[in-house]
Amino acid sequence: MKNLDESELVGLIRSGDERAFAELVARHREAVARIIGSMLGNVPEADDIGQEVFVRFWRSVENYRHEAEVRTYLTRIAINLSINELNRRKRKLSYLIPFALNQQESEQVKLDSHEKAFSDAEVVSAALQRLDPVHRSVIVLRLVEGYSTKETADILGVPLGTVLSRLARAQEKLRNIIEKLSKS
Amino acid sequence: MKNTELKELLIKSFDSELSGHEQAILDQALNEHPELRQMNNELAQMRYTLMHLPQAMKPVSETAVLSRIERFKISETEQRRFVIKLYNFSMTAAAAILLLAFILFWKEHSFNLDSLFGYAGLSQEEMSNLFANY
Repeated sequence: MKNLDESELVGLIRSGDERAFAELVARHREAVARIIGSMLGNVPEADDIGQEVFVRFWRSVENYRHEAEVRTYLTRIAINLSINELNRRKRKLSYLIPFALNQQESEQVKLDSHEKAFSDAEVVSAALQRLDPVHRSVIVLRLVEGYSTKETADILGVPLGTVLSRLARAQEKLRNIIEKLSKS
Repeated sequence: MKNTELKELLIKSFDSELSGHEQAILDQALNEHPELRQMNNELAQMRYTLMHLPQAMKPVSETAVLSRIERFKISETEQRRFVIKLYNFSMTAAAAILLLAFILFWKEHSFNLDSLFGYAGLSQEEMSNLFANY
């Protein structure tokens, strides 16, 4: 199984081979975890969504046409499911505003200095979690995952110019959030 | 050039190629404005940190995914069974209604809709009497 390329693996999965599917999961689970972890942070739902990414792939494997690499295809599913989860969370929090504010306060990160903030993984990560889903997804794909701007545009289904402008806006927002966190 | 435009140019310089003219403006501004240099350093640091963020989530296990698929298959089968049962029930009910209607029509020797109410064979006058008495 380990020697098979992705298209052979997908062929076997289509014919119902569970071992081939397990191999595909083993190959891509790290990447999927990185994306979901960066999009949602370390939350209990993350594992559930991670599993759902592969289940969605398995359900739609008949429609998979090799136009995109499996990794790109899984990334697209992971980003969409994460955005759905963030929207769901936002809706839920809107009913529980007082609780949400308390939670945000307790999540505040204490910093020693302003300069240190930009190189502190914990602070940058906390700032990333405060970005809106649209800008967060661009940062995660382009900067955390290292996809090119073209690949990022393909995954998100938006024009290249949109990715570049969102990326610029997202970095500005993120920088401002880090500054705020460092002052608090 | 305004401060905000310079900041925008600086942010863009990380992801898109600036034209020669824009790059020259940015280089000059970086030499002249210490706060822009600081922003440049902060952005570069931020990008580096983002690229090296520690994994926030443990990768899923193959076994968990496979058992989830198994559960999904079971629920899908149950759903299909339910739909088949519902279909069979509806077909049986429809057949029973048709059969009942057919028996009534047969009994009345008429395929007139009135035969369903049992007065298919009555003349106009008999029907008026029947309703008047009723």
